Amino acid sequence: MTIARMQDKVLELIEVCKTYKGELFEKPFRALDGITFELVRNKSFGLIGLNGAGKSTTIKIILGLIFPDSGEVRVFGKSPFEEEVKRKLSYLPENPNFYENLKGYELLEWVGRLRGLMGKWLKEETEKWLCKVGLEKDGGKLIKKYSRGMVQRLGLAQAFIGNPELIILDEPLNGLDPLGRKMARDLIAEALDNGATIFFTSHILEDIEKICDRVCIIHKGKILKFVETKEVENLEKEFIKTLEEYEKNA
Amino acid sequence: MRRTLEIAKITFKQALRERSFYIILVLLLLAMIGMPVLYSFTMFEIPRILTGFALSFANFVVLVLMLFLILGLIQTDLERKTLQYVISLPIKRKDYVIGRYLGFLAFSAFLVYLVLFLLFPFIYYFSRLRPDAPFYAGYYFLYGIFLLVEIQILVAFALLFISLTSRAIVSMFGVVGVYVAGHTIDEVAEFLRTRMGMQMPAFSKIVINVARYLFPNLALFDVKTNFIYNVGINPAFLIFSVIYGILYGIIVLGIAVVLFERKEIL
Amino acid sequence: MLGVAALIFINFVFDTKVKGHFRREESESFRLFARPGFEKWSAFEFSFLKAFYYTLSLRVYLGKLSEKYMTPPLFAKEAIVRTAEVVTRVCPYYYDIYYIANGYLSWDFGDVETANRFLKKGIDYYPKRWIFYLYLGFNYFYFLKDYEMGAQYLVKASEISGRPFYAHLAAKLLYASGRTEIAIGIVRNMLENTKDEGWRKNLKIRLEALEAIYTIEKAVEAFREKTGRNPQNIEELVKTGFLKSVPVDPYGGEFYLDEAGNVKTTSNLTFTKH
Repeated sequence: MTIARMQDKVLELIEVCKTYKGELFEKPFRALDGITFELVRNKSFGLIGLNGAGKSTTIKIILGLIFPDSGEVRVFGKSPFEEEVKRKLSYLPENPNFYENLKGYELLEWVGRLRGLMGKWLKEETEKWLCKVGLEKDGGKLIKKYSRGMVQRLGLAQAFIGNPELIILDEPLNGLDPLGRKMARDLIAEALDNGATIFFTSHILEDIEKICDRVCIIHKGKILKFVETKEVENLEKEFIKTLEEYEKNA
Repeated sequence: MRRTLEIAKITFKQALRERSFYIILVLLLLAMIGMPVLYSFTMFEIPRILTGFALSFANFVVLVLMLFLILGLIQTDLERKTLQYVISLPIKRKDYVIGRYLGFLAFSAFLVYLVLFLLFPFIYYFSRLRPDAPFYAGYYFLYGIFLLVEIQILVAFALLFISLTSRAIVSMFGVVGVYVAGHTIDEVAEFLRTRMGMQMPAFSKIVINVARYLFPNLALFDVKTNFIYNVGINPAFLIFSVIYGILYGIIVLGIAVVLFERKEIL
Repeated sequence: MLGVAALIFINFVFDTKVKGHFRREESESFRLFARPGFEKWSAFEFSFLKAFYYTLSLRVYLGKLSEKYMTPPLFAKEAIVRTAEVVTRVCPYYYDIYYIANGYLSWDFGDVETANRFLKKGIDYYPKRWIFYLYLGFNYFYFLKDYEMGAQYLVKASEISGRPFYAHLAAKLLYASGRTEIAIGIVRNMLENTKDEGWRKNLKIRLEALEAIYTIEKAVEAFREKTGRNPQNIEELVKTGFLKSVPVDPYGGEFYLDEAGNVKTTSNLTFTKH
């Protein structure tokens, strides 16, 4: 059972294509062109690319927010729309916007409840995660009053509460000060230790290098390369090199 | 079901914290103070004037607040992209639509009856001082139901627009447009009927009558005048209106759910 | 974004209005924010409030005028008629406007036809309001001298209100002169119900005049009973002791008797000439 579980594919994308239809006078935009990759349980996977390369689109497809034109998406072996799939994953959007009229702990409790936590256990987990992200004093404040960094921290808390199996993070270290970033990296490492799978995008390749086992370079909707971070000295150099090679041959 | 209620609860909580709600409370206070003032400079039919005022106030206040809330929600969810985040949570898409609907409905009900109950003692007291016209307490509270039916139709439409478009401004215009259209349909139908009168072929008359109910005929729920003056009250028709309104809202909501399932949340 | 939507919304509610100016001087203008024919459309659900607001602004306007003029000036009539048209279209059950329209149009502007038109419209929509029948009855009796119609309406008023008083009054009025009596009753009733200071001032003067006329009429009656003929003039009544003194017409005119012995006044119970 253990071996089978360890090989268990948490995420699978097969030849996924997505074209955004242009509005009025805009030309249709080919966002994803034959994206194929898979993510195995308890690994951390990074997606890197320039702006507009297709990172957000990929994430939205994984979350079931948009639908691929062709190809297959499987999350935990099932379609991303199913509720039980969403129960096992969490998501932190880039520059998150949460409902401002709620207090920090209310949002956390709400998410926790949706993930199946209840009663006293819910309250404990909420407390615990507020502390872990350094918001123990601010849980009772309205999110309207949070600074950018505090919102990001809350975002991390809601991504981890309930111990989801797959955690999808879009630029999670954005808006955090150096201590905050360390905290975030520690939390991600802890989650990995607890068996979670991490899917991560960022522009800060240094962080990707530290956290991810495997990295995928995406450019203009296509996957250029997979890189094992252990095997590469400097991810940034590798990234730029790959891009330049592609442009030369294109 | 549980998750739908979670969405509903959070909707209610958000609505309660909106600044507009506090402004409404202040207005409510002013309205309560205004009652004795109204009493002193009204000439005739005190109970009717007070009731008319209270019901119109409830109507206006709840309508404006719900519109603000709905438009605010549209703005946050569509423009500030909270919708993307919420849909990624473990809920079914239809939970979102139905949950929002129920949440707003609950909040409207709370608001409507808050206003009606707080104003009631004033009306009752002053009506006793000068009972030159009857005060129908039953109708007074019954009006709340009609107001709610109207509101829930607007909420359903707002959710329909959210499911249809990603542009906040389209949704906003849509909801306002539904309100305007809903209240003028009857007038247009009357107007056409009297203007063209006999000259119209029977077919057109049928079309107009169908249109009256195909479009949300919100004027059906404006029973204030009927309740204040106790005129034109046809119980069968009133029941019909309520059922029409509720069914209409549910159908629109149903369409919203279906469209929302297929919607790309960009 | 929200603000724009709100503004547009508000515009829809209060917009589409045409200002009606009825004025001699700028300060005497009355703005009626209603496009005739569209007042109901742009009211949406708030027809009652609209009726209330228009009536209130008319009252304020008339109040302002009463500070300057002893009786409402002619240009105010159009304001009253227009407002009454709009209000009765927007919310035909709203009572106050009927009262105001009838009160001013019949007494101050002598336009009983229009006053009756509004009263009858009121009955169309709200047949339970017996007071409309009462006012109509009075108008026919007192102003139009159509005693039959007057009686009909008074009887109807009795029926609906359940107070036989009005039917009795009709009977009395048909066969005896009681015009001034009923007028005094009506004006006293108006005085009880009207709160606007300007109007009350007006009504008090009217009441004074009517009571003066009533006193003279009573004296004439007594004289007729005693002497079997009509007095030649009011002075004769004073000389013969049926009247203490010649009553003063608060409108500034002079009371006199016509050939039939009816009491008239040169002022015609108004300060302005129509």
